[in-house]
Amino acid sequence: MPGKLIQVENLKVTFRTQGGDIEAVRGVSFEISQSENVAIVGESGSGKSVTALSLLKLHDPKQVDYPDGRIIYAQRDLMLASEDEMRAIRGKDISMIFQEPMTSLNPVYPVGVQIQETLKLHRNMDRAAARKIAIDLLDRVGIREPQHKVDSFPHMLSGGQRQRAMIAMALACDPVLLIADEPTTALDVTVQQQILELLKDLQRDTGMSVLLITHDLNLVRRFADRVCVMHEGQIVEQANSAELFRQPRHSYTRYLLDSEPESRIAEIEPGKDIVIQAENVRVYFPIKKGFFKRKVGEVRAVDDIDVTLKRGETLGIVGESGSGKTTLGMALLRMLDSTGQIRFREHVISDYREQQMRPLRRFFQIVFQDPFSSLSPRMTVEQIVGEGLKLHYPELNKTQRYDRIVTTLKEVGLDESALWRYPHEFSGGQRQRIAVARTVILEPDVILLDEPTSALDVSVQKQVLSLLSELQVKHKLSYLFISHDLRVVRAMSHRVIVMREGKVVESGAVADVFDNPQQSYTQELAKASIYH
Amino acid sequence: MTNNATLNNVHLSPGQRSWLRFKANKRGYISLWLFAILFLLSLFAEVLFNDKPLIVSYQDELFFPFIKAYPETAFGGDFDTEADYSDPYVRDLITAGDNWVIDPLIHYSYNTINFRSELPNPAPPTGQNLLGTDDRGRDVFARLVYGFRISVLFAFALTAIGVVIGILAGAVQGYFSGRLDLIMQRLIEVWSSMPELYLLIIFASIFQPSIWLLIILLSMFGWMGLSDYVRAEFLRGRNMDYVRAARAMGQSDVAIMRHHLLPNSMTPVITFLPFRISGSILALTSLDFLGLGVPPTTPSLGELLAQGKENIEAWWLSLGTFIVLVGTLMLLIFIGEALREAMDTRKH
Repeated sequence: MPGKLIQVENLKVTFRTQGGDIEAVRGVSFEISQSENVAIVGESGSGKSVTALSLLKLHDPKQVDYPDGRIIYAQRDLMLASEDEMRAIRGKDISMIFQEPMTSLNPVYPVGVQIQETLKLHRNMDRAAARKIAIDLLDRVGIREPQHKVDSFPHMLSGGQRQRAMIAMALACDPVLLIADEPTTALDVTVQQQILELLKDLQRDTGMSVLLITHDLNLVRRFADRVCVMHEGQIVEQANSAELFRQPRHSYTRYLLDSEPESRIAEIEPGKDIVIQAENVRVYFPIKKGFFKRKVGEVRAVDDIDVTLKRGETLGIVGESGSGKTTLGMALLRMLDSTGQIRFREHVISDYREQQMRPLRRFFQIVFQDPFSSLSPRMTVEQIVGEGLKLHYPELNKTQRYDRIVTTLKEVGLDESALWRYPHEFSGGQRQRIAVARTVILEPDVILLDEPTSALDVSVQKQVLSLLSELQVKHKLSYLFISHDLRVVRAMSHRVIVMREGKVVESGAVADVFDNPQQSYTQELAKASIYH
Repeated sequence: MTNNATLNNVHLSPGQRSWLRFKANKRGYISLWLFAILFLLSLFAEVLFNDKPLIVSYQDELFFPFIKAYPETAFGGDFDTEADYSDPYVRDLITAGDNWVIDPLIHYSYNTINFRSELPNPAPPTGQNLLGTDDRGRDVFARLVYGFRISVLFAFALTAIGVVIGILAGAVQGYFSGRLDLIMQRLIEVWSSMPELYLLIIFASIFQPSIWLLIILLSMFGWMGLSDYVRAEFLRGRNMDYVRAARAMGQSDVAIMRHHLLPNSMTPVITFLPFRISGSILALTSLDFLGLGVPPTTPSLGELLAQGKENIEAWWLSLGTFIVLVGTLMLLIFIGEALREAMDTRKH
């Protein structure tokens, strides 16, 4: 049995706020052995990231107190270490990678320079030597043509490449422990899998330990040796990975494992009438260059796609980021200009001007991914939900409108007390319910769900999905369900379109496409989602 | 409706909540009261500071000299010109016998010259002139009050015009962006490179200087700084999902701008509001100080400061003006601070 690398004993972290102290971490103990993969899993607000940051004492000392606890590393307590001592450990012995590789890399320096910085700092290397090692590192993390990529700026790399560059930076000084805080959350499914495999390979080669922080319990199934499940600042269960998944002891762990979206489409029988029929939809964005904005080329965001949507049916649109799935959705609702014919019932809406579209707008609604930016922060819930009513049902008087708002809020699981409150007073899941209420109050025919659950915790995700299914049955809604998460699409959709680079790769009934994928790209996607 | 009423008792409307947040800032709240009282009083300056009596009862007949001009002959005097109520002869006439007079608090208006002062002008504070007189023998106290009023009114007007034009220009540029934005930006660049001060000097020599001319001239330039900020807010806001959601709902452009983008773009407007108001007061003061502002008889703080500079030993001129100016600006800044906090819905 390899020795203990780091031991955390009864760690407590409190945040000082104007409203009093908030206990974010309430007595957490765990340890990491050499060459071990440990995962801390929990939903947002569970204190998992706070715990990880505490290991390196990266919190602002003005805001954070450590009332209790010890972190023992190399026979000393990091809690008592000075800032200088900590600085020597950060990046050298223990390094860290973050969720969003775009914001964690400095946009004004080439990635190579940023890798070299760590080397210069901790190893006193000269530029030429550091550059050579930087190229080696980029090669090791699987970036092709590292000699060229070493001089690339972060924005020139893809999301996966940026995360690889971050990992290269973290590996620069051969750390003994790598803390990975949600390293794959911002990435596409196929890339997620690659990054995890990379981490595992590197770990095998270098013998370092990895502490993986994630909200996705299923993600760590293959990765972690040991799993700590965190809930409300405490570790509720800690066990070997295999054991935990075979026999979860704590009810919260079971709850998390149970949060897999379950299929509900069997209960929903789509109708016969076609709501939206689109043929040859194309959206090309011109690429303009020079002073006179000459058109030099075009991006084919949506290239020749046919879509049929029946009443009460859910059509899943799947693809990685940049595949054009959102653009297709927006084009179908005429939020973007497109060519090709789009029919809504008897209207050929592709020929309609904006003025003609306005009265029809009530029939197509959108629920966005990020419930924080989709609700105006200066409007109360009553104003947000009631806005469309004022517009499309001007005949309602104040009381009738009020009653309808309350009814709709109850339908999505919120009560009357929400009316006067502002969006920031609600959690992500509640906000998404408000966004749903805003759409269903107009009695639409079609709702475009653009990654409606991607920003939510798994358990909340499940609640929102079941709410959407209930509403679909009740109001005979048709959904255009855009997602990169195949499990969710599978649970919700009758039919599915798989998109890549603006084109349809495969389409058909959901079971056919996922269980028996014909195209290699779909097979790859399906594989990634199983690994998931 | 009963439903609504009961709800209002439990929950506060957005407006009420803002007011509570405003009140939570004690300094701003007190400043608002002080400023409101001072401003209100100054609005009634004609009743408080006047060289004409408010009411005269002469031979059982009521006269209102502070509103209407009466010739001296109306009170049994010799001349057909308007009565000079500070003249002891006239005063005797209207106070003799059953006649009575109600005087304002201070017997001087902003341009009343105290001919009966025994001291040379500018005269230091005495019982007659509480804050002394200026170099033409006019009461400084009265001039300060009238000057304060005109400064504040001027600042409010200038700020209101500037904010409206600034928001409109910024909103249009930010929301429609593209070519329109490009053209307007270039126009603004050209326009803002015009030398404002020279223009004012030129116009002051062509036209009879007046407060309206100043408002028009300063308004023509004052909106540009704000429009840039509003434009930036609109540019950022127009790509937010809530704006897209409103479009999906079928809202018109104007409604989206008014109900969705404007409330979310008010931060720079509110933030700059107190500074704009105090900036306007300062602008008027400095123009008057340079002699480019309002016509000479108009009471103005800048003109008093200029006099203070000419008569450096007459401390009451500069000190009084200084206190009024600093006090006003400070109150406005405190109010603005509280206002900004009140508008922030994320604060409790």
